[in-house]
Amino acid sequence: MPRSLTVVLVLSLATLAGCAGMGKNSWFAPMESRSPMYTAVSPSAAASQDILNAAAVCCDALSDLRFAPLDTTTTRFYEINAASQAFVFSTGKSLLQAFSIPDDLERATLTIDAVAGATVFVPTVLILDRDFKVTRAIESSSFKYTPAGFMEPQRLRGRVFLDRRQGSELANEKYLVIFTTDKDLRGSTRMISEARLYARARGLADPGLPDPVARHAATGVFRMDVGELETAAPAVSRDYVKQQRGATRYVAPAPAATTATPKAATPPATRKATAKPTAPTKGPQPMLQETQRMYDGMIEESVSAGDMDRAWRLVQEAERAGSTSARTTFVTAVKNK
Amino acid sequence: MKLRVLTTALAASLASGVVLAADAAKNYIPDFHGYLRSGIGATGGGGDQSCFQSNGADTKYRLGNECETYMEIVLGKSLWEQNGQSFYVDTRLAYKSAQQNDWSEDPGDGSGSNSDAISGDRAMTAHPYRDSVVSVREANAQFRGVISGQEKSNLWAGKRFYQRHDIHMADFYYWDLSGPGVGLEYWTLGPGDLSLAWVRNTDGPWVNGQGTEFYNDDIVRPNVINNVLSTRYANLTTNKDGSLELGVEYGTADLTNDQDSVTARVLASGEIERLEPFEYNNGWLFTAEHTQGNWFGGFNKFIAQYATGSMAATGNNNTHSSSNAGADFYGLDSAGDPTVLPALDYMWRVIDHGTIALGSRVEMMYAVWYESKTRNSATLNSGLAATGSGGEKNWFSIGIRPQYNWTDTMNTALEVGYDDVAFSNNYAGYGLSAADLADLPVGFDANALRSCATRDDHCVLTKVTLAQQWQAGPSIWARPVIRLFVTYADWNQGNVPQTPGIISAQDTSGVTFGAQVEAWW
Repeated sequence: MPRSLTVVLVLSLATLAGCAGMGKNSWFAPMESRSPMYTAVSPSAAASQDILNAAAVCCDALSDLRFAPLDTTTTRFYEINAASQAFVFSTGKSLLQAFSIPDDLERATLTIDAVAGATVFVPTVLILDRDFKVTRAIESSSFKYTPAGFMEPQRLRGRVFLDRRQGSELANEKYLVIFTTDKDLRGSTRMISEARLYARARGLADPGLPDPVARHAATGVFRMDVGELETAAPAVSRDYVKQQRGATRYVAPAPAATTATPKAATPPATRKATAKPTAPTKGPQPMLQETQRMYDGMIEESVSAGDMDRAWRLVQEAERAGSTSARTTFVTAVKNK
Repeated sequence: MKLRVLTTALAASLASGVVLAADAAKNYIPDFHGYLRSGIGATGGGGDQSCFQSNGADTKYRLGNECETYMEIVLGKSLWEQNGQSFYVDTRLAYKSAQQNDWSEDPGDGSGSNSDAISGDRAMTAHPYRDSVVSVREANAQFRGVISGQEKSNLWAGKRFYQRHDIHMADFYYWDLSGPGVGLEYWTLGPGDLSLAWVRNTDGPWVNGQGTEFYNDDIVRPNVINNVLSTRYANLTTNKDGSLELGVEYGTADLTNDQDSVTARVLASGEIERLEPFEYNNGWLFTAEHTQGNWFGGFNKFIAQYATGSMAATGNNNTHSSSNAGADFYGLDSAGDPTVLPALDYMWRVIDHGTIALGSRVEMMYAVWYESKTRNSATLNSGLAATGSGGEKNWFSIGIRPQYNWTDTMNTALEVGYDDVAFSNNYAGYGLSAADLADLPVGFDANALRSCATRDDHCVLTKVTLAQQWQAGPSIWARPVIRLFVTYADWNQGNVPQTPGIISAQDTSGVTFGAQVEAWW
């Protein structure tokens, strides 16, 4: 009896190996990169491209998008699929998810995990103010590959800090658009195989295997968690300044601005005035050079004395008075400290 | 989660300078890795879960066939980094218990799991509240990037799991030098990476033909240290996604002067006893391993090993091997005098194992190997008569573990494992004599007591497990997993599985069921 079992085992092993051998190239991909896991992860980048090509563009202006209220109560999965809205960004046409941030959400960390399998949807995040003007962009490069572990899938993880208590532009942030760019669609992400993670945990020799690759796709799934603000105010503003730079390049300026009828009641003049992306936007008039220097000096002084609260208050005060250098002075001072 | 709260709390409480405080807190969080398995199980005929492993087989197929709680906590941290070089400190604390009670302490006095008199599962279960052991298995520092421009190069020292190679489904560590040591690894030289190491392990006196009474005696140090010098040359590209690793290891006991010569001691009675030199022997281990990636969605490894003398001794771990292992078995010769089994002459082994993915829902682990060990016929210099000259043990094993994913997080796994260990020429020494057997109660099958090993027979065991699993992902390597399992095993007469005392010695099959969690991170 046991010996006959051996024969059966050997035969079944051989048969299975034989079957596998007849498969096409796609059979060579490891399970992590082709399972039906998270069914919204497309089996192939090409299929997702077809979906993108077939999708009708929903609107000409960002203000015409349908914004779903952001669910702040629980961690949720969101799909980017054939039913998603499509918009032509200046970085290419993309399917997207658009959210409106509830007014009572003052401070938060949004943790966005783009689930990676055979493919991955590489997110870029735009934040819009109440006038649907892009205030900052979280570039796709800030979404870092994070290996699977402890009930977490392979993923690209990025975080967005919201802090409306800081006032000025931060208080005015209202909308979130998550999409991808043509440039990202051409790439792929190398993952760490589960077998290699096993080796690390168990102190084994590295298995010496090629790692699975997730192709970047036009569709996919991401998870968003709305949690406590995990960092301090100055770090938020440091990020903010960085993310403001060139943020508007994702959206073609002219046609969108003229053809769209803004839903919010804001005079077009203000929108024009704030077109310069890097400059702080709220100053009514440029302040005197001397006053600006005075503020800068006081900010540097406070930072070097370790009084961050005072320094930050000075930045806000200076900006209200029209300073264009207070923020960079602050960031430089913190960096050099 | 806790850490996050802590970071936030820290940041909040240090209102000013918060940036620095938050960053600083982050810097003190070590890398946390680890492993654990635990669960609850029962045997069909009553009692705790029995685990099924054939006599003569050094491993068992593990799905639904593990009876203990085992855990490793790994904390490591890069403590210094500069110009592509870094110092990494790594630690690994292991814990094992027979999972009999909430409270399972480590007796710490050698009375329970550490006992020399009883070992293995019996020791683990001897005392229901003192059935655990704790061990620091890794404590080392690694200077990574020690050779400039070579990020992988690594100078290390301390206790370490050294480049272990395993078959996961059988818990079979076929190439594993672990212990205290020092080495330089992954030094890129020519087409491959060279690793050199000196690793230590130590045997008790009983392994070397001496009794445990040496513990009561300070004249001669009882324990024998073994050194293994290892040279490995890895990552040789052989074909597309294929690579070769070659290894040569030399193991030898390093005896003290007294251990190596005739000495004497004074007994309590005043008599003088002559002490014979310790037995020991040396050995070589040669290994070649070919790894094929992109193999039907998984990988395949083919391994050939040849070992001589001391390096042939242990089946799944080539560390405790430099001395005369095997000499701990005492039988009786025809005159009723104790005899000792001679050491191993050589061992060879061929292994093929890996995983494959079949379609988008089925993934399978598989393993097959053949191992042959032969004893030599040398007479021991302690004067004891050797027995079982030229004895042979040939072990064939094959197993598969396919897993069908119903969803991304739920699957059904089947594991079938088969072991056939053939003993010949008195490899395992004498069993019961005809006179002993005559004393058996009427109707008692003699073969139930006569081990298949000592009657020079095959020891055969087949084990089948069906498990429903909830798993953190579709990969067969994804963990944690929680599984409900049923295991059936059958074996031939006299091959009582190695969890003794739960299943009757006369039975030749058994069923267990239970639940287990397995995790690594």
